[in-house]
Amino acid sequence: MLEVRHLTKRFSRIAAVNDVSFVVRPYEVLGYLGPNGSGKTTTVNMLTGLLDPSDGEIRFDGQRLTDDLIGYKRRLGYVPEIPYLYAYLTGLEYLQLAGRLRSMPGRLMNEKINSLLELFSLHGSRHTQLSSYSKGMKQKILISAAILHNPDLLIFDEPLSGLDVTSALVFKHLIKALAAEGKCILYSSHVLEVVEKVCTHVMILHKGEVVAHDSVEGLRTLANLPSLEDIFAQLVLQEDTEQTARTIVQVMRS
Amino acid sequence: MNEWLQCKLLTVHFFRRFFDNDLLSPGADPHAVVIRALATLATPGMMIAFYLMPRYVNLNGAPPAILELARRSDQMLFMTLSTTIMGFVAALQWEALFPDRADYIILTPLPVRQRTAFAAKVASLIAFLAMFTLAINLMPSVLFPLIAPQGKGATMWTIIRFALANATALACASAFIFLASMVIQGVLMNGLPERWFRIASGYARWLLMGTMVTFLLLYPRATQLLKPGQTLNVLRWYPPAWFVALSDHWMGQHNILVDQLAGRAVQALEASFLAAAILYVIAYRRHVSQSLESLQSESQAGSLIEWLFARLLTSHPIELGVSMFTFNTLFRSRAHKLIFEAYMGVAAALVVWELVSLFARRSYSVALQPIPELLCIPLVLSFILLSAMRVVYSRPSEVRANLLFRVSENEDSWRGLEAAGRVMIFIGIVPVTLPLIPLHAWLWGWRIAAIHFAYCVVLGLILRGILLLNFRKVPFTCTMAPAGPNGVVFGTSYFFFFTVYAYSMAKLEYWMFPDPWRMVKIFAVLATVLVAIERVRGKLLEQEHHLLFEEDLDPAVRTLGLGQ
Repeated sequence: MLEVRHLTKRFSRIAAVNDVSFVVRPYEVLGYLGPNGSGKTTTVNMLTGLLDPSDGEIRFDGQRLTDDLIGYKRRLGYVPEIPYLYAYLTGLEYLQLAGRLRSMPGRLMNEKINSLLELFSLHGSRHTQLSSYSKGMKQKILISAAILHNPDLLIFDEPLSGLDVTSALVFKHLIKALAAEGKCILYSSHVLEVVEKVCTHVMILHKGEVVAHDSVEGLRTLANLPSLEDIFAQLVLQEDTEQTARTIVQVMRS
Repeated sequence: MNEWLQCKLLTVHFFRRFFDNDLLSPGADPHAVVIRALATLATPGMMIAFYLMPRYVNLNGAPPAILELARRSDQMLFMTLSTTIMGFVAALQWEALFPDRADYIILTPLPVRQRTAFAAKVASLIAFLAMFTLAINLMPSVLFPLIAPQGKGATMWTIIRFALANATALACASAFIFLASMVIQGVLMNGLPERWFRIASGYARWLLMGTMVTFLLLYPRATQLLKPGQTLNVLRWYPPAWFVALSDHWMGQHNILVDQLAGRAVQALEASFLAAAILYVIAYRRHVSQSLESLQSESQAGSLIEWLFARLLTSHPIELGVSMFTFNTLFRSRAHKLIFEAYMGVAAALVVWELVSLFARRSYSVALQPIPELLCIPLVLSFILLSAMRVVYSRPSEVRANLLFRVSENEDSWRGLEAAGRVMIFIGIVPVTLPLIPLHAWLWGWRIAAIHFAYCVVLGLILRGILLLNFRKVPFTCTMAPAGPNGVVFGTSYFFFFTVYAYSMAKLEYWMFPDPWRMVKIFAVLATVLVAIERVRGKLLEQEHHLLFEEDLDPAVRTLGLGQ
């Protein structure tokens, strides 16, 4: 179980994330929502150990991250928002590197990599350098690298970015299947429809603070609104989106 | 938009792209990079000119023949320096001679004609060549004619004439080297399929840089040969001499050698200009289609290396993973490959020079004796390769991708350091010692060959241990502090250690051969040093076993820390 208590991160005294608390239990998928700059990626960076919190603590299965960061990383799988990859490695080489850095035995690792490459339709491009991959293909490599070692906690930061329709559908089912396996999943995204479909719980962040946290059903009942998009619009959006679109067209015409 | 304006904007854009180079400026301000690059290039000429000043003061009143000899020797030095630096600049900018894939992807959807982009690229190349030629040659062109006397009775006009002739010859020499590198690239690009072109490019750059270093090493000998009464001999292959002769020719000095060399300079410049222009136009067309069509960069060569590493180096997953990553980065990452090629070029040039100067002085039969001049060769190579690897290990590659290493860090991650060290053995020691055993056995017998091999390996391991003593990073994954080591201190210590390692140790080896007891003692000392270094490394690793992914940066403001 992932527990986040009063998590705060300040950059030059400005809080990017302020007093955020939540729990992700096994079999749960927590949708982590918020507009650009709301603090989602900062939270994710703290959860992956890339950033130290200014205040608060993170625990996994009761143990503080700071007490055993290495043990925690061993059980973590992470798909970052931006696909930073070693462009000169091939897809196969990148996954082998990921597996080896996690000390996976060679034969098992290669079997898993081959299966994942087949399942993600990347087997034919396995010897192609990542610099030649499309955004979606890179995303598939990152997803494969994140689940290769069978982690207990999965953190996905905008994982559908660039994926084609079929792969996105596969991925949505994958999230559910992983949750059914008892994994704890944090799913950070802008795509509300997907969050609504795959997440058991939702948390909405705005300007670094939690503005809503409940099950999807609970939020719908509480806000008396039919969809997550409406709830999100009511809680976070402070502008007339249609008007903004019309203004953009006017600027384009002028 | 007006086509002329488009061309102007694109020229500026392409010119800036010369400095948008992961080797020069990983994320730095492009203006600062340009200024730093130009200042760096201008410095050697200026320093040497100032260094030479007292020499000419001392030569005041010396016979004209001596003055002439000194002036010619120094002019040759500046010419050699100018060609060498320009050769390195050309190698560094090898891939920037044509617009790259990013340029085409950005420009193709825009209403820009291909001829406009071509004209802009050519204009930016000319501007780049002009700016760098000026930066490299400005100081020697201005200062050298002022400090080098033109003999008794020299008027102001003679000095101005010499200054003009010297400056033009220097500029021509720089331009020739740059154009020659364009010709090499044009021939390869037009003559080879894209995949082979990329492979051949690496070798061509390596050769280019090696040739440039050879020019520097040949400089003293070339000065001796450029005298009236001498024949063309080796100078026919030594471009700096052609352009010194061209300057002499313009100054009205005529003898057979000067006329022949000056003629060669003019022919070379004309031929390289023509060939570069023709090949560039043809290659440009080919490059446009190749850049847009060749999306796939296949690479399967890793499997053999992986098999070798797994059999010879390690079976531990982390060590194997980091070994493969290190190897792939070293030979595939553009910036790292280029730095490594530069070092290899220097190494090759030093070895060639060592052999050429040995066989120029003595007969070939001298090779049948294990003399220091031959014993030092593997040591020269291993020193340069190992230090090159240590230098490139510290340069990050796609630094944000180090996320993979950071999120998968575990208690065995220190094994990545071991892997880095083993790859150094695999690339920096084994290839320069093992293949030489049969040759040495044939020349000197198996006993000497085996001892020499063991000696070089032990020294290589000691050097590797010293180089990695404080190294706490997986290669290429740690950010680099912008301020590097002090250049003068670094250069001096590098030269000192290189001389001790390569030449003094070769002499020591030669001295130990006749006496078995000496041999035992020396090997015992070396083994002790090696064990001691490895122990210190191990202890340092025990004290701090976390890997470093971010170099401590200098604070923007330094304080006295009184409040702490």
